[in-house]
Amino acid sequence: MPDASFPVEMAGGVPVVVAPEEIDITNAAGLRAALGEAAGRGPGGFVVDMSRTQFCDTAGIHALVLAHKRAGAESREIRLVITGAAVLRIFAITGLDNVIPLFASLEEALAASKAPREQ
Amino acid sequence: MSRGEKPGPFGPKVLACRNHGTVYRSARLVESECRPRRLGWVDDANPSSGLGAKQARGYWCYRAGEAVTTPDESAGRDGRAHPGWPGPARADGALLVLDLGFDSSTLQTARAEVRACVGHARFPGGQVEDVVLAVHELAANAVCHGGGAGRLRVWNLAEALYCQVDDGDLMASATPEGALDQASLNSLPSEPGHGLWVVRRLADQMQSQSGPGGTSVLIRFDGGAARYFA
Repeated sequence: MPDASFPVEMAGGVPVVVAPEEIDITNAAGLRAALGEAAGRGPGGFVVDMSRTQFCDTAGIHALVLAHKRAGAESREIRLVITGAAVLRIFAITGLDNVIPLFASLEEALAASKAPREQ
Repeated sequence: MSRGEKPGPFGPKVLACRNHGTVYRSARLVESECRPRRLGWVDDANPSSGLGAKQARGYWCYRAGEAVTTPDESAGRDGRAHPGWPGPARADGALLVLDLGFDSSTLQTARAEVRACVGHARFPGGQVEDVVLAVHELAANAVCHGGGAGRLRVWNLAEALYCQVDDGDLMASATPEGALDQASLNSLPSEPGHGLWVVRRLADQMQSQSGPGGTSVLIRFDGGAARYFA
């Protein structure tokens, strides 16, 4: 089964949820828990690093959408790092690529996370 | 395989066949002498036994000589039917390229198997992942809402790839190690509509039939198969 662990790390003061290679119904609960933990680390936004992720089903998408909505209600933002073609594809199909900010690297996502505070 | 080269008679090579947890690495598909052509699994180590009709984890196993149906031929069983579905029943020599049982513990394996067999059918890379995602969503639905397990079949026909997912309590004889129990299944995210919506966007055609025996969903992908298996 896919790796059930979604560690939450800190990078430059920003919580980063590190996603495994595959996200599906069997480990989406772990993703939801990690997203909740990252949101609880502070009032700012956080990053979900899916750069290793090669497959994400609608259960994973559902967890990310809920986290995005929750963050939006609290006037903060989650940022996703996505490089896998199949993952980009499901974001395009569902239209989420126009809803949740996507970045090609963790560095870019972190830079975007810091930008508002530097202004 | 070059463009003009004919594929083998049974599509991708079958590496292993499982029955009740036992992996028969020498298992192979065999073709009957009579017409209409029938395919069956035979264990090379014990050719007279066949592999048994009941599937456990992994590949669906047939008795030697048992017919491998096309999507249309399997219609009507257990109330599952795909009336009016075009193509397969009239196609000569439908290639069953994948026949798997799955549950929550083997969804990942099922995805890998679909990826391998669709890639073999020479679908373009992006479309391979479309098929993988669509089939996975159907299988995930079967796991979450259809008794926790199901059966997945893929046919590579002259003009398209057909994938059928039947849910139901197909593996009631044993709860495989690693499978989620009912409480865990109930805790899985329940978004059937969203998953099927994605499947409809991905597949060229989709048909779902429910009956006393469960739900059967058949999807069709046009594409690479026509160019290589015509």
